[in-house]
Amino acid sequence: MSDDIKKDINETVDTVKDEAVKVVEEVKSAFTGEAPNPNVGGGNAGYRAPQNSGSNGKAIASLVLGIIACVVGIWWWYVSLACAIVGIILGAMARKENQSGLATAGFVVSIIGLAITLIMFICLVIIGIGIGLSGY
Amino acid sequence: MYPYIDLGFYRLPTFWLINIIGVLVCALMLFIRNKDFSFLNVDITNAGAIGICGAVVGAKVLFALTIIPVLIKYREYYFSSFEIFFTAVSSGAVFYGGLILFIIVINWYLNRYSINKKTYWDFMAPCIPLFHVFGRIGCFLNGCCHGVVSERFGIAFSNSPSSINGIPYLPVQLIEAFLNLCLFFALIIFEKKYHNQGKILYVYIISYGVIRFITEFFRGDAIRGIWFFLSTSQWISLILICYGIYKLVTEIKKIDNKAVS
Repeated sequence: MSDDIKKDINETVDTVKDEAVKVVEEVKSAFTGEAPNPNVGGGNAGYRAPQNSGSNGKAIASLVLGIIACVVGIWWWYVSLACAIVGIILGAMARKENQSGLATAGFVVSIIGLAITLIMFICLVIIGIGIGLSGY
Repeated sequence: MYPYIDLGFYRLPTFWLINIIGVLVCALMLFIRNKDFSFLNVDITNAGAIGICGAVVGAKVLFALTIIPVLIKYREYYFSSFEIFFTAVSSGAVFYGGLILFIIVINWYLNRYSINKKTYWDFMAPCIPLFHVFGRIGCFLNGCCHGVVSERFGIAFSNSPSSINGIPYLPVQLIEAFLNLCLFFALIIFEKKYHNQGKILYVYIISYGVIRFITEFFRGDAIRGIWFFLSTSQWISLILICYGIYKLVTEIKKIDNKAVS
């Protein structure tokens, strides 16, 4: 693998890690009602648009996860559900920060992956209710 | 009943199709109403999609929690293999779990990007009962979430994989769909009158809580979590009604204080 590709991958991983920490802080504040910790992931209590490379990393990750969700949705729906949900969240964040075609593509593909996964979910609901009626 | 649409190569669940149609109708409704609110299209689609993810996870998680006593009682069967266990915990959904996590994750998005929460929920809240109309019609077509046995008002299902065929059940799904449709129109009219006051979500929570509390008495489907004579959804309804009344009174007091000052 070339050095440029390794560097891009490392930057993407770092961006996803930073954003994950920020998200955890913000979910905590949504539950507790307190303001998010300003010292986490950026240091600004208000919204601040991150660098373009961060948004590109999220857009690429969203597209990759969306494709995985679409491909494995029928067989490993639990994997595709996780991929689709993370893909949608990353795609939404990328679209908000830097509205590019790649971010929209990742967002849309992840939504399609979620829709495919939900077909399997619904089938399981139908089977599961049938099992419930069997006396178990 | 029509639980599946046979495409030849695949049987498409009708419940899934009806819910997809519901999502599209709600999206159309949001874009039409946006002329009164002027939110960015990217915020509408982002918050909606993230909210749906939260709703799916929340509905499943709450269902998994409600069947813990059943899993423990029949543990020899349910814990005999990973697939049986996972199918069981994934085999249902509770609307309230979806609603609660839907609200939490959208609030997270609104906080993160500094979007006015009160105005946004005045915008979004009427679409929740609108979507629920389609969900309940999907339940009826699937034959699940039915009511108690009723010879006089019941509808007997056929080809339903989710209930005993041939027995007339009260169509609680259709009753709730109709009540949700009425609630949707009521919220639209209420929002026009009390525009941008942040009350619509709480009015919905209180109204749907009352509807659900009453209709739960007429539910007759097999898997119900019952705690001290009330179902899980009835307990949640009571909690949400109290929460909705508290928040609505708080909002009204804030508006009155602003008017006085």
